[in-house]
Amino acid sequence: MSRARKGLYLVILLFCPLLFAMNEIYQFESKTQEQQFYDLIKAFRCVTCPNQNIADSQASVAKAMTDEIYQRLKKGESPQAIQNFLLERYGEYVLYRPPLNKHTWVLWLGPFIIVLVSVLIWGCFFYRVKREAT
Amino acid sequence: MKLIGLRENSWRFLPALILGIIIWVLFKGLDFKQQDPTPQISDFPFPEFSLEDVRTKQIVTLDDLKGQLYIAHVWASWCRICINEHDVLTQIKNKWPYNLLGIVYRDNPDKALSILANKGDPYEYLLNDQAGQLGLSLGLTGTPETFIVDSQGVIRYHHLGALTFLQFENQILPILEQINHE
Repeated sequence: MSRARKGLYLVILLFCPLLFAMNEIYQFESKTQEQQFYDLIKAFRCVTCPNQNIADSQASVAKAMTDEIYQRLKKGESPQAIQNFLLERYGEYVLYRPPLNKHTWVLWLGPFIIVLVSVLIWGCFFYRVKREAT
Repeated sequence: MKLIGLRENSWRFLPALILGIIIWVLFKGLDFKQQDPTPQISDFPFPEFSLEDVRTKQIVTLDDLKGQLYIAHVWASWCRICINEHDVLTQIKNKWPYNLLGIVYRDNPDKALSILANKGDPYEYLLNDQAGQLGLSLGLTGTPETFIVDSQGVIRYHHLGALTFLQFENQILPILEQINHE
């Protein structure tokens, strides 16, 4: 394969994701609205494929959510109102950053507690070793 | 001295114990089967809608359903699992007199109709949810999903994924019979 042809294939491959991105073009009235849209679609979990946000997901439900968010923003709804709409139907599960509350505190504070307990244990251990050595 | 030594030794097991607890908690968390991501959707009023019937092109609304018990089933022709599951629904319809409400989700209506033409059509109404708005209002996580809607228009049960005949008999039929006796 000639170098030029290889180069051509590489360029085609590089632009493939752009072709997918062009599938749905959303038009916005302002930069703020556009930013709100992209922030929102990154904040919600795809409920069909839980390890993706709806911006990355190709699942049909994720596309429906994206369309709904777009339509609601165009109608003038606030991002908070849109978030409430989805929360009411899907619960906090749909948020990639769940809020800190009595159900989620272990998730948020757990790692810090583990680090703290580990440091305490190691501290005690080294204190003893040092005391025995002296 | 020996007693103190034992106590000091037992300290060394503490990190292992804590690690064990963490692993156990994480391992328990892997059990997805028990979790319905939308548990609040049961005993939730069926959302208002106004959608075209794929076959008659007539507009159907929630008021058309009220007064009767419905099994609402969300499916699409692009969903392989739904097509495989279709025979279960026709069997259910042949065996029991419950009304079936089909919701064709974000699909080409002609493709959905051609599947029904080949495999049989068990539905009383067949809504065309092209934009997926009814699906969102239902808290749909994917296709297929099945809902039981009582005569007051309240969702009484929400089943995620394909339904087997056995699951219908064991889980859904008792709920339908209970609602009938209320």
